[in-house]
Amino acid sequence: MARLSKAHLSRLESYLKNDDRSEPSLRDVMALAELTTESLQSFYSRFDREVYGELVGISEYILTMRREIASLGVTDLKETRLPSAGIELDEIVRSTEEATNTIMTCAEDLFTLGPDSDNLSDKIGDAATRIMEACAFQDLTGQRIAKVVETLKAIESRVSRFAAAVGSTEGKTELDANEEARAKRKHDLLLNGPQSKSDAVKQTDVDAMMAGGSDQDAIDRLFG
Amino acid sequence: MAVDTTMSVLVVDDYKTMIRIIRNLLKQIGFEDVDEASDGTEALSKMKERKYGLVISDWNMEPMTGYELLKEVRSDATLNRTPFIMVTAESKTENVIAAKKAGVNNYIVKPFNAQTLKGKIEAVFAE
Repeated sequence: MARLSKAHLSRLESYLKNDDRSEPSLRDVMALAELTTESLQSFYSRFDREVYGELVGISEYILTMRREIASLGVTDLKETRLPSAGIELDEIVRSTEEATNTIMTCAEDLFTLGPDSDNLSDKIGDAATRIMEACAFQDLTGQRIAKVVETLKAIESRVSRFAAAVGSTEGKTELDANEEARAKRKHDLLLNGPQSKSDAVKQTDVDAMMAGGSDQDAIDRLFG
Repeated sequence: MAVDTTMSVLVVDDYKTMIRIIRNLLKQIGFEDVDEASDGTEALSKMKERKYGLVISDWNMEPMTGYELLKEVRSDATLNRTPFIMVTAESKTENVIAAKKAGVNNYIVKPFNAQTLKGKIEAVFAE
């Protein structure tokens, strides 16, 4: 931090002490202003340089932020990629639902057949063919999921680069009121959703729990 | 053990497809009287209007979850003896423990097969 020089302050002190200032004239005031200005000149010049330097730093930071925000491609994400990913996911839900319904209808038709049904062989063959045709959804959903994954990877990459550029460090995530309410509901009502195969409790372990613990190994696995 | 398949069963799930699967599996086991609800609120309302011999419920539904439904049923003097099976993708240990503490009669992890469903229903009525 810049300081006033001792020499300037001494001159100012001596001026104020040594003369009679009971009725200061304009000349006295001007002389005092001159002395004061001279005294503060070095202070302000250093002060200005520091402020200028800091402002340049802030300006460069803002410029970097603007470049990084631009490289996020928010418009592209918001108007193209995310809506497109949403459409793909909707299509996945629709096609899996459609395929499931077709397969279930075939199964229900097969249940109604008996050994005395007319054209039994043809009906079974027809149902089997419809089931196989419906299974084609798997290929299409695989391709659609790949497109969504690509979008998520693009977002991850851009956000990571932005976080690095602005020097963001890991901290507590700020949630808005809605997100907070949903997170609390999930926590309170144990809405964990499906687990990966390796993490999910197996039915045999659940059975041991429900049976009150007849199989100690299964219970141990639950808490392991 | 033979289960009385003439009883009415209430299947609670927010996915129509899952209700259809369970309904078909129950039909294979011999249950014909199967009713459905899409969440705990609707299920509770139906249970207050009609007596069901068994409730088979999913966990994750809105606005009322299967876990909340279970607790509501167990705290209602007129409903608390209704057998309740949870059929859910919630497969964490804490879920099983919480459901057991809340008074569930059995717990099936999705995906499941007809044999598992049949076995659990039989186990519930063997208690």
